[in-house]
Amino acid sequence: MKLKGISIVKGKVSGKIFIVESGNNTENIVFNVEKLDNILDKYIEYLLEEVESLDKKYREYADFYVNLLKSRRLRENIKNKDKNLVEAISLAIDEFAGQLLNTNIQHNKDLSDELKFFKNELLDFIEGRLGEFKVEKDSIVIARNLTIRQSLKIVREKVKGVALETNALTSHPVLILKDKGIPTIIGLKDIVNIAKQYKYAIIIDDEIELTNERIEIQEKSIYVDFQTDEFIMKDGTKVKIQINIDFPSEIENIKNFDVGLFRTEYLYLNGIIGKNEQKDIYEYISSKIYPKILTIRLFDLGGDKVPISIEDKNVRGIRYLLHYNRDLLNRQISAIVSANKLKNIRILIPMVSSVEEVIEVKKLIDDIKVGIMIETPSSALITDRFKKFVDFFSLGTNDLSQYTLAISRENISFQQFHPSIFRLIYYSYSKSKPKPFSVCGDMASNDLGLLAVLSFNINTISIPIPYLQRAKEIIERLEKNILSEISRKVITAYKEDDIIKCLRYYLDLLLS
Amino acid sequence: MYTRKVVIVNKLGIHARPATKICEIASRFSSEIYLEKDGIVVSAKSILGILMLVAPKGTEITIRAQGIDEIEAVESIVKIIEEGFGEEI
Repeated sequence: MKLKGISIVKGKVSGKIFIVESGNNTENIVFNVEKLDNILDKYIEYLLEEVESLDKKYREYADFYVNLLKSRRLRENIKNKDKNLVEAISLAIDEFAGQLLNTNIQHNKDLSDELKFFKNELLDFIEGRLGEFKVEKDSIVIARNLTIRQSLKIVREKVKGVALETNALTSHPVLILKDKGIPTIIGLKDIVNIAKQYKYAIIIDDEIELTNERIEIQEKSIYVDFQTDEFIMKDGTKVKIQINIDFPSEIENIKNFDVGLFRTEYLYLNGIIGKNEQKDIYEYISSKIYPKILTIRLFDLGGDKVPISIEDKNVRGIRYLLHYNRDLLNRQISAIVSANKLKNIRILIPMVSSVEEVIEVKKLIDDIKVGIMIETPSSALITDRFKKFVDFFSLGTNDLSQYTLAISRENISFQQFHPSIFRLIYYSYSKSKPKPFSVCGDMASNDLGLLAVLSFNINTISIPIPYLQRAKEIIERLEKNILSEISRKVITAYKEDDIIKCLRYYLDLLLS
Repeated sequence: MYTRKVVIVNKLGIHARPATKICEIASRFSSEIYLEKDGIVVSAKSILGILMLVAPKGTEITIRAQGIDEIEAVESIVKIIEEGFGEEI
């Protein structure tokens, strides 16, 4: 049985079929009393460890929560709820917050507010540590859709390939698979039901074959030994290449590149939120790549990268950290500062929309370079206003597109190559000089987008490791005069369709 | 059974921090210890209970304990309340 879909990552892999039935993994954390006591005690341990080195004030603050979690009354209340673990805890804490609110005393009201954040962090911790779904190593995963955590697990467990029913090209779970070079096909109608009748699967680019006999095929590695982080065009023009990573383990097989983007939210989603845990990871990467630079992006939570707890999904990135979870922000910055012994770490602020946010964050930072993501239309439009306050810019394209086009990135009508996006990229870049400017977004890690980005004379890009080889191939065939033709056509285009046609024409020309 | 009355003296009354302190001290004793205000009785070993008591500055509360270390238990809690939990009075 053969099916064709849309290829996200091309590749040739085979393995046993592993079907993932449910999309939401927190529902599967079955309640049992032992698990409850165990996880609450673990969280208490974590809290105490966190505050060990802090001022007395913070220790007292933690003491309150420690006592609360030890409280028999709270635990009984959780146990009596006929729900799964996460819901039961959530309800019990909400009830307590509600009772506090009803006492009509100001400090109890404040505490009730505070409890909401406490609850969020606790639930994220629980979800991170217990919410893991199981997946078989070396298998081909087949599902309707995945959650971010499931995608992360798939990457970590070295799953061979993924086949999905969803059509969401640019949703985060799919992007993770793309970034990590896991051969993936999406848009496969009804594949979950069909696959139930088979044992093995082979993925070859955009086609999946389901069989009942195992077939071995030759697979190839994405790790090539690159001598330098500059890829050079035919006419000698240099492009500086940086890499995007999510996990510390990704740098083990690769040398000579700056990390242009370390997305820390994946640590958060795995329950790694403690200062010391974070510091160890940052320090490890920093020393491993030294003297290359490590760019750490602050937790970019919200949107579809949602810890189960954030209520207003529109509050994202630095807004969330500054206004809803200062503790988390302070802790992360202090972890980064203490990890920066070799002075090769930079901080990147996500989802910035105004200068005030940068000023506010910079108050917390000393002696570390700070840059911002340009991924909202507002920040792209006032790029020049940020110059005074930041050391570098990094442009992200999927969010920039969804907020410019007023349509979610998962939607089928999302136009990745809409003319407005290229105008914004071009405008922002031209207003950024002389500060370093790079594109770390998805636009620079697909063949067509890469051509457009380079055509604007942007000379630094940050891309996922699996795309390095392909990017090198394309860049080495490019030259300035072709690029200036491309940029002229892209900037003057009327429709997305024209841009895609134009870019495809030049790509075919280059590769022929 | 040993009982004493005491008035809350610190400016903010029994909020999270004092509640934690009471709870921690009470937990060191084996006696059953209760706080009472206007007919509401809560365990001094339960942080949830103490907060539900609602005791701003000037409130009189009754502390009652039953057990082998009841006197010491009640006196320890009275002491910390009278000291205003080391906070602004």
